[in-house]
Amino acid sequence: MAHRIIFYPVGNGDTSQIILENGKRILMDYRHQKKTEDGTVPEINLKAHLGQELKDAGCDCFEVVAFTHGDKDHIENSTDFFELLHAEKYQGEGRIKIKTLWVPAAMVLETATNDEQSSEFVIWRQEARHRFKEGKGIRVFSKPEKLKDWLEKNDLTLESRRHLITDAGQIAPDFGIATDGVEFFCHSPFIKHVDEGDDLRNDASLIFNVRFCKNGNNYDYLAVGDSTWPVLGDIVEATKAHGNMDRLAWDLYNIPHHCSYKALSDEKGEFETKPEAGAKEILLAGKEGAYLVSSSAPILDTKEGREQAQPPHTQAKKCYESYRKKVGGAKFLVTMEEPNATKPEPLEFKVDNLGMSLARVAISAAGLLISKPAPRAG
Amino acid sequence: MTEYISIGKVLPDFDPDRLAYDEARQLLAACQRHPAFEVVELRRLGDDQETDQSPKIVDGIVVECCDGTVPSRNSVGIKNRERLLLLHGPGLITLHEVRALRVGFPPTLHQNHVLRGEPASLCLYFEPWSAVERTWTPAKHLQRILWWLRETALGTLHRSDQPLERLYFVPPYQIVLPADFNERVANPSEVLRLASASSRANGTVLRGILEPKNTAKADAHDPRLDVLVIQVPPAVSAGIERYPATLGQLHDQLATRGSEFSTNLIETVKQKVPSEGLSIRNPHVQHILLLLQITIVRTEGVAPERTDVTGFIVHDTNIASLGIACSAAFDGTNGKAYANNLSLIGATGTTSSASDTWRNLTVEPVDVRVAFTPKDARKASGIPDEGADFRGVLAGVGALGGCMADLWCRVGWGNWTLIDDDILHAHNLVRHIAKDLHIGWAKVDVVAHMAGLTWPTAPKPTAISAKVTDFGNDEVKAAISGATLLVDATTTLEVPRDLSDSNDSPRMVSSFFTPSGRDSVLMLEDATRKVRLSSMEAQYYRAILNSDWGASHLNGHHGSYWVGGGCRDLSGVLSQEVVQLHASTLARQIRLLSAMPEAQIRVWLMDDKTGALAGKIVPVEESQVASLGAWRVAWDEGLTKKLKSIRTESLPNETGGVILGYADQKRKVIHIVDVLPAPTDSLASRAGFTRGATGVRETIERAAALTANIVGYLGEWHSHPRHSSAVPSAVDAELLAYLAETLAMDGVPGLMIIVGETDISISLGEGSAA
Repeated sequence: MAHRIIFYPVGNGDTSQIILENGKRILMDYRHQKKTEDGTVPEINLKAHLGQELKDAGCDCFEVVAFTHGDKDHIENSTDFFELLHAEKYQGEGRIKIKTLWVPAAMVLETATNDEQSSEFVIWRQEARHRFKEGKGIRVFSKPEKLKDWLEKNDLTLESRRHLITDAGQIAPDFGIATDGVEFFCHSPFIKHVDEGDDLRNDASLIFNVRFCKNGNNYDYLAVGDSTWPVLGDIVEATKAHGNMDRLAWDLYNIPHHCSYKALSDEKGEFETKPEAGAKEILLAGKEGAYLVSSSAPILDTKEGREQAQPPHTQAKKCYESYRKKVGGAKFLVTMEEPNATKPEPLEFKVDNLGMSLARVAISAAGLLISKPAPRAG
Repeated sequence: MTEYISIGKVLPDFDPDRLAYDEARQLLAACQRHPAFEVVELRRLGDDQETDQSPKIVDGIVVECCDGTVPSRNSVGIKNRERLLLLHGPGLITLHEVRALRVGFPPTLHQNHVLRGEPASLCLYFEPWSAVERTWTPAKHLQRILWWLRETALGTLHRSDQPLERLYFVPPYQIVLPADFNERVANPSEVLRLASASSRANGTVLRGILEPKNTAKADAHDPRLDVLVIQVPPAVSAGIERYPATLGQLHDQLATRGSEFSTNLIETVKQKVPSEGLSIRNPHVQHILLLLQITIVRTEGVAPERTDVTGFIVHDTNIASLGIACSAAFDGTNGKAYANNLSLIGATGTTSSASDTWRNLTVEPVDVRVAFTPKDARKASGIPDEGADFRGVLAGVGALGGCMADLWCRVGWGNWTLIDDDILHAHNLVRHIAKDLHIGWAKVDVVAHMAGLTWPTAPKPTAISAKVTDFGNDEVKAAISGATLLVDATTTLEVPRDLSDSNDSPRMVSSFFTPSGRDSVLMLEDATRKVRLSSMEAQYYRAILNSDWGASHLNGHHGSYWVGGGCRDLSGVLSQEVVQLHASTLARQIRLLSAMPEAQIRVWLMDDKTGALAGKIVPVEESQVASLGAWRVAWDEGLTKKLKSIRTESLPNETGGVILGYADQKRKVIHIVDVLPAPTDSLASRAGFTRGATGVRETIERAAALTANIVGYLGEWHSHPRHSSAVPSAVDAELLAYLAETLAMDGVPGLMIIVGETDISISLGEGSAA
């Protein structure tokens, strides 16, 4: 028996799933691209894949679906996939249920411009607000002043909703080491990021230390959606201040923002990004044999790759590799490169009595050939 | 930081041309292509010069390897990223050797033995390189490395029967100890002598032989070893450990498992030093063979699980020098060492304070094997211990019996008493396990001797040179009454018939092959002996008469009332190939079938065209016996069913026919084999039946021909109509009288069977001449 952590190859975007030994499923972010539906692009047809996974497991719901923030590459086409409770048009046969929706406070509070009103994040904001008002099926992370204001405006008291709110530095009560073999320690968002920040999204996105316990050993998964080095620096400081540094150690690090150098420094560097203090400290907290996962497109070490503005940045990858070596880590993996860039497959880790490893099936060349039809012969 | 062992010289870059061998270049290319491998550097070993021509050059590719499948905190201690050195070149353990460079790489199963401080050498392939190279490719090699790391980390790489890999730079020795070594070595009147066991001068196997003291003779190929056997206290079973390099390390390794042996070492050496002293320089001795008897216990204070014997060559020393090195002896300064007994110290010579220079003596592991016992043989043959330890009698140890005895001896099945009164003649060698030296021996002694040669420490079979039917022989009687299985391989008529009649016999099985050697036969009584061999013999003949295979089954018989093979004939023509083929089948089937309670009749037919052996199962019917005067008439349920069935088919008329079978005049038993249906010219009505004659003679002649003239005419049978009993009528009585009178000419009784509505009657009539 094992806990499983699966990263899906969704391009420069995020979707990962934790399947606990007891069968509970936690989905973090959802990105389904329409272009994947005819099978001609390397990215996975997430909707079909997840749908099949659930069908095979005989279930139609997730224990938790967490949206780290409302960016398109983290919620794309999710409103077609899930059952939303706030409006009938998002309900019906085949939609996947969410027992508990996890969102950062920003996702309840964000305002949208007029032309954004149909955007999916607005729909999720409505869903989050609906569930929050109903007082069930939701967990909101952080309680900034703005959230209190919103509650007052909606004739609700903070007291009545406190059980639905988890602050940074706290463990989400939905899971426990003793009962589920896992706990979710919330690093972010901070109150200050929500109240003071201009960029409500990335600066206030969900960051967790997911701690699995197996055979008396703790395995720490640092799950970061999109973030920047100053936020990481704040997290390190706060974590230190509270004496929780063990919550920054990692056996598995889902590195921020599709391997963007901005999660390390403002300077990309010509060949290798030099991490700022906070980011560096997180890198040095890697445990022996640990893994780094970049949820991104393949990372090219070419002139073109070095010069591209959008992540992934090969200079950042080099930085991660350097620190991987320093801490004796095992491997830096890219979701869109495993096992190859033409047809990447979900990257699955398992945590069992012997530790963390890749759940990978060794397959022979012949095995590969006979697993599918041969090309047409003339 | 992780520390790595550095061997060889680093090459300046990754240029493949810096490697000496094509194979290494291909391997480098494979590493560079493989996502789980990362080339760290190239190295060169075995050469200090820069020339590529040196025959000793070994190419090295240092890689880091991680495919993610090694769990990060496995208890074995393999890391999910390991730095390895892939070697290729001459003088390696295998042509492509893989070394793990990390300091602290764990000792595990399936590593080659290396010197202390050297990087661990992974034992990747279980088959010899000559087999591996047929399918070896650089890419598969890399996959194999990943497989080894993963399986070792998961603890699923189990091949513990793997012989210990030997050092490749020292003369290898293998020592084979007698199977009862552990029991006998404690006996002070015996000493262990080593003898070269090879047929060639370059042999590497030594036999340990326990011999009475003072009779041990030097061998022409004396290995020049002093032997020291030390019992060490029980050691707690622990994980795998690296072999120690010195006697001190060996001692400390065992000490950490609760088994320190220095005291025993000193005591044992003292006992080895005679009072007249022992020469310190002994040109006949180079090294000491140290044998440690280690009792392994699972946890402290628990009964021992087993006794292991491990061996080490202690280099460049002998008993006298070792004695001085551990203060068990002292240097008498006269070229001799004397035991360091306290009483002597004051009296003679000089003695220093306790010396521990023994700790620095170099040790090298040797491969110690213990000869097999029948129990080991069973394990290796896949035969359960349960049911294998029984007393059996094997009657007849000719070609078939001798071969079966040898097979059962080798697989460790049964404790046998062999009974046969024959001696081995020169011509027997063609079809017997005997050798030339056995000519003139009693066959039982030959077979027992061969068993002793196979398992010298196991109890030999008991040999009784007598006829198994010699009921006056107390030895034979005792053997039979003490056995739970009696195997008849005498290929006689009398043994299965006579012995199976006796209620004192154990369960019996009879086996033989046919005169042509084509077929073989097995008959086995049921465990409760309800159906005896004598009844099965008749059922076997019925099967011959009624089966398609029966027509040629006994081809080649001499018509001499004897179905057994012609091996006793000097002129018999039968090859040992056939003897062993059938003997193997019979031996195995007897072993398997006797483990089950049912009676069995089985026949195997050999097809020389295809080499196929077809097995036929003859159903066994319950036997019936009626006593009629001086005679007993024996038949079986199968016959009853047949009679009833023919009667029913003919109703409302009567029917009948001829009875086939044979009479055993010695036992006064008439065995009914079969009944024939009515000939076509018979006259049948509701009131009577007159058997015709058409085809009867041919049928009876055929029956005789197919059964080596054993089966013949016994009498007549007929049925009674509906609602009638089987009681003979007045007409029937006349018929019986007629039969009896006529058969009296042959001196045999006549038999009449009547089948009624619900019963069957058997009448026997003896004519006046009988």
